[in-house]
Amino acid sequence: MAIQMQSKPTVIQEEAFRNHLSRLQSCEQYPAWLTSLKQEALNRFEALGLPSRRQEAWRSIDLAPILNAQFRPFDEKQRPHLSQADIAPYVCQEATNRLVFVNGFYDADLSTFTSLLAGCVVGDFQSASRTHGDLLQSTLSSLVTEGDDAFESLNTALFGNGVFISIPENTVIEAPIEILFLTAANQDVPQFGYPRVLVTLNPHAKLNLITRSVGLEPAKSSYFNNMVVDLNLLEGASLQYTYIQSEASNAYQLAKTNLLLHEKSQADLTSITLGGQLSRHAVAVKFLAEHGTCQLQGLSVLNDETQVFDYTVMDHLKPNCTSQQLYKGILAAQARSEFDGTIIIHQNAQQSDASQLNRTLMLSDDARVLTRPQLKIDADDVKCSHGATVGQLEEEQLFYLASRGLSAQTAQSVLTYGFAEEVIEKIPSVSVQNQLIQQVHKALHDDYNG
Amino acid sequence: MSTLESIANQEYKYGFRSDIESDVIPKGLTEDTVRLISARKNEPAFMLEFRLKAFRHWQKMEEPHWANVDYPAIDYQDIIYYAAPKPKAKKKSLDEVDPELLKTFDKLGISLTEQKRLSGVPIAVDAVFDSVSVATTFKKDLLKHGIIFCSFSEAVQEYPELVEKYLGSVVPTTDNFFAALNSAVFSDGSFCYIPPDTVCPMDLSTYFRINTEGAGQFERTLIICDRNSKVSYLEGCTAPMFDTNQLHAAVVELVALENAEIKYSTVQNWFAGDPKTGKGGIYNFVTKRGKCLGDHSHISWTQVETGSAITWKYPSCILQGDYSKGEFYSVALTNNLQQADTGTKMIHIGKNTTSTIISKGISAGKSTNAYRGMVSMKKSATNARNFTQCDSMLIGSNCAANTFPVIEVQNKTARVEHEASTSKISEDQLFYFRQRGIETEEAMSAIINGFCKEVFRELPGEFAVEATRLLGLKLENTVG
Repeated sequence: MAIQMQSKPTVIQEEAFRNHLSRLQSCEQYPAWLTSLKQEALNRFEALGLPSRRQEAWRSIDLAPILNAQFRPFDEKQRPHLSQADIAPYVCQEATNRLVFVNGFYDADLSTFTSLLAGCVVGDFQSASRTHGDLLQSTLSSLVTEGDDAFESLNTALFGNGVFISIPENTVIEAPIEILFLTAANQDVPQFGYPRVLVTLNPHAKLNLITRSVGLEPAKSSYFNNMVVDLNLLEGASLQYTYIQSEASNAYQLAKTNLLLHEKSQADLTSITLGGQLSRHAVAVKFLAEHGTCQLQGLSVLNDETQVFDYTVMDHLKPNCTSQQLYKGILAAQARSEFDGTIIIHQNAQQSDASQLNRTLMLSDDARVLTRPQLKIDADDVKCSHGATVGQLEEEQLFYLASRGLSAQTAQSVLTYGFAEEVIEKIPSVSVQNQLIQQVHKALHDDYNG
Repeated sequence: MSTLESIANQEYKYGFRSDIESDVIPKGLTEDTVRLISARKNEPAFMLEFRLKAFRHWQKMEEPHWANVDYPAIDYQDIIYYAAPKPKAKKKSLDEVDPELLKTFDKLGISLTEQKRLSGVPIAVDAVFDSVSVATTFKKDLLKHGIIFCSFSEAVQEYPELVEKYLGSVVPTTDNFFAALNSAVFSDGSFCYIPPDTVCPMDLSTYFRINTEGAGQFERTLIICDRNSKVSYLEGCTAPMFDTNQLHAAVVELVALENAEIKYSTVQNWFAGDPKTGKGGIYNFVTKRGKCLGDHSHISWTQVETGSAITWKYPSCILQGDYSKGEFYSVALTNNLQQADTGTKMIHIGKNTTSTIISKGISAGKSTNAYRGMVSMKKSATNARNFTQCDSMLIGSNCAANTFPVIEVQNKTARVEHEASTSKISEDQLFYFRQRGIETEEAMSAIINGFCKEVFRELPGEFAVEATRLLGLKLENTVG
């Protein structure tokens, strides 16, 4: 197998990593079409090579810990048996349909299905391939050849199970569908998973989707999740999608969300990052037809030595589309965050309206933030703006609250939460909002006391 | 032909070439070239060492390609590294300067005979023709105040200790590919030293002119402003029209000591190449950097970039002294096939340092215009502040405007604000003007001047007038 080396210092690690991969690949059994699709993805991964730090999009990320650790796939036999009570803190109470995965394996007992409308396909890959094999095959096949993200190809090459959702024309699913990826690192060796979610909304369908990846503490070893979510919205479809990452503190997560917007479709995406040691969430949005709208908001609340990289590309390929982005970060302790957001307006994409705002709140002198908001504009009749701010809580605001009898700690907490609220309140589930508020308070409260 | 059309079709007016006999060394670059340049200029040992060190490092470097510009590979062996107007005899005063040279500069609107200029305000000028400085005006008047303003070669001979102390202190020889190249082969430039407690009584100015075909211009400017002093410095540039591209890789270093203030203004109008084919034109790859070394020092860059086939430069400030202040005001206009990748870096090191960045990019024709900037708040930069605004305007749908800022913060008390927007001249706006009897071209000029006013406001009087006029000229026939 031809191996293209991109940067010398990691040659040995890369080689080990690749050997490791080919071993993994050979031991899985799939239907013929999927095997060839996975081989294609692996070839693509080989051609792309591992991202090097010379690539702008990966520049600040030190992949060495991921490449060095000899991650092994999760073992189904060692999967812990969890009860509904165990997962209660992480479930969206409004959700009537929930798919639960533990260590990458679908757990039918923990999953819930009620009141699914006719024609809807909601299920894990294994059951979906039995009932809607052709649809799954055509959906997957249409996705794999695209993209220039090596880890995305790697996911395609290695994913085991995942979720397939297809909502038929003019069907509105009101209650949220929740997908829970739980990881219990109960072994001494580092392990990894490749969650995959495929969603198709047919014309004028409507869906509220939540994916949540949760690491159960304490994690005995580090683990690595490489997650890919493909969202395809056909004409007039409407999606609300919430991505929540609260992995264990020694976990690595590289996630990619692809959103394709067809004519007059609407998407509202919220990305929340609360955990993990190093995580990256790339969101690639493509306007494939006119009059699409996309709202994208992100919040990361980071403590300890957490590193988070948010990477967005808003690709206006067609005229008359609107996009809005708001990414916020709260950094405590030695946390490090990076936001790299690009808005591309192609030459024929006149009347595009794109805005982006990145705001970071620094609570510690040891925290570091890097922000790169980028505009690439090739059309003249457009409205584009971006903004970025970095700072700490306003003295005056703290004083105002102190003068009304609030302790310094409470005042800080109130203001910090207020900063986070703007993003959290966009999530279309009150129970999830409340859980997140608690998590934010907990994460930051620790810091104020420490 | 209407008046308008004739103005619009006006050719690059500084495109003439003066017939002046030149002392030219053969093309190519080896260690011997570096030694030859140094020997020609009769330089002390430390200069040769500086050049050789830079050259040896440059040989090991790779030409960078990260900028959003596109140009055929440069053959560094096909450049004349030293071209100088042949001296008739050693000149004693300005009267003895080659009359052909004086004519050239007169044609450019730069008076080398110490007469008052348009505005009635005297400006001291150091005129750089190809590789050497040919004349410096008002030198004696300035010396009375203790101000040293002369060509770089003269400074190397007369004030070697100052040169040795500060040369390369802001832009080290190893800084980047083009700075290393410049450090190895630079031939001349301007040198300026303002002694403590002195406000420079007049604006100082350097005027760059590339005349010889195939010559690269590698000049070096070093300005040192001592304690409690103040200086305003202007820079202008033109070149004749040639079919071949010419490389201009200058280095400008500014040093501001305690409580000093340097204001550096540039109106750059190098030949931009043929408007239709893009043939010829200057590659303007310049490294400009200022260091606010002392507390309460202040460096301000103002630039109006209208010329060059490619502009690739980032005038920057290192804010080392506490309470020091950096400013960057820029208008970059690209038309036809021009490319510009410009912006600034503000490196905050000292406490309570502040910086302001105002960048206005205007793209027309098939040009591309990028703002690339960095604001870095180091861990020591307590209470540092930055405000950045970069606006782009697109005229026509074949051009591109890009914005690539980077913000890095390592101190929680630091505060950074960045905003950027893109707009166009709308039909509504033009209609409003026309309705009131103002023609399209004039209306456009008014809108663009309004768009750029925050930057023009920073330019010294005469430059502001020139910049406004230049912009109008460059954009004619782009709308309607």
